[in-house]
Amino acid sequence: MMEIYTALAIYSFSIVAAFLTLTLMAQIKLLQKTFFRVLAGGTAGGLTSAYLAGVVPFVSLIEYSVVGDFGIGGYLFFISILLLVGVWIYNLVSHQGVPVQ
Amino acid sequence: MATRTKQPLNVYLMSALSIFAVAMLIPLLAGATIGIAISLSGQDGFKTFPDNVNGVKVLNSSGSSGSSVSNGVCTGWPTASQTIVQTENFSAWAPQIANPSTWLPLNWTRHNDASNCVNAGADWINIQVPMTLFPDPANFTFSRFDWDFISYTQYTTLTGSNNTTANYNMTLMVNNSLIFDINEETNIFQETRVNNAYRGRYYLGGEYEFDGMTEHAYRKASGGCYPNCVAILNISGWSMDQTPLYYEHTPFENDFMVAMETYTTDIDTHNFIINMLPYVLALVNIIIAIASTPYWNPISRTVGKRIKVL
Repeated sequence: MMEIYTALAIYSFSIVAAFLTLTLMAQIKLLQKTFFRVLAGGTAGGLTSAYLAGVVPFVSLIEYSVVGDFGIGGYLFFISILLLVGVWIYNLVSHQGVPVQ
Repeated sequence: MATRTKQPLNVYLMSALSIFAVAMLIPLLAGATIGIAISLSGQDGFKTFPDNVNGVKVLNSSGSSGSSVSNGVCTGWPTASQTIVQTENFSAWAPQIANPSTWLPLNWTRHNDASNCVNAGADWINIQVPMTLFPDPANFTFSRFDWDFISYTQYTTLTGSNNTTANYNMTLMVNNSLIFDINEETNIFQETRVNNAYRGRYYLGGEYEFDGMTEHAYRKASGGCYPNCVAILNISGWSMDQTPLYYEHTPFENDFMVAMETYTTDIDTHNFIINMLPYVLALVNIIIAIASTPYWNPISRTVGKRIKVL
């Protein structure tokens, strides 16, 4: 079973991917209908989480980092993931749905 | 209500590329540590089964029928590890002289079946292999594991192609810790010739190349117990979508034979790489995080000026 911190990292990435897709869809007139945007956003989020959860090295690296197997470097890595996703989510919310300014 | 202004398309592309890069880079590097260590220090054969280490035992298995099957579980396997070695040129293979290329390579350990435990359509089998086949995690980095199973019995009715394939699942557990869980494709039988007549043996083989994380899992599982850990291979879910003649048959239906090989790479090189990995990835993440903010330009300008001064 996936640990909570691994799930946190994976689903944070998924949220960013879903929001970015939603915003990107909003730029294309043909796809501005809510139905298409929700469908695409949900699909992007779902695919991202499925991809990351299925990639064993990604999940394992986070798990081993958090339990201290890689020492300070591991903790630093996990904090950097949270920092990165935090910045992206902040940008998404406050800068017109764009994670990278 | 604030109105949203449209961002240029390249901003979205940059965002998508950044997410894609991070999502790809982390698993790629985490998985590549063994490959990098091999490219720097090479890969050595560690042990060959049964030449260097011997002894294999079926712990249990499912079975659709047979005298030793109770409630779907086969109970009739020998209780001790089997160590009968059949060399690559022993008489039961022969006479394959008419076509020497069909000789089966390797030496094999023959496992005697108590009865027809695993019939066509069986679901799974658990096989215990000696722990000393695997490297001591204190001295080696485990890089690759090869396995071959083949039926001892020859079948005259197998008249298909040597390229007929099937899929199966295999897991390796060490002291109840999962090391890897894979789906593998295999040729389902090997061709031999007896007096120019065709003979076939059911076959199942494969190899697993460790990545940094699965090697770490092995290291954690075996570090405290080596060489007394319990290593169990679980093989299940064999299926094929080709000729029904061979459907779900496996080498385990009667006596079967096993050959395995393990490989290692330099532990110091790999330890250095895997210990540096989190720092490198953390640095990359922090750089991307800063690059995702408006602070990127002032910081990069300042750092650039300092570098020019140096």
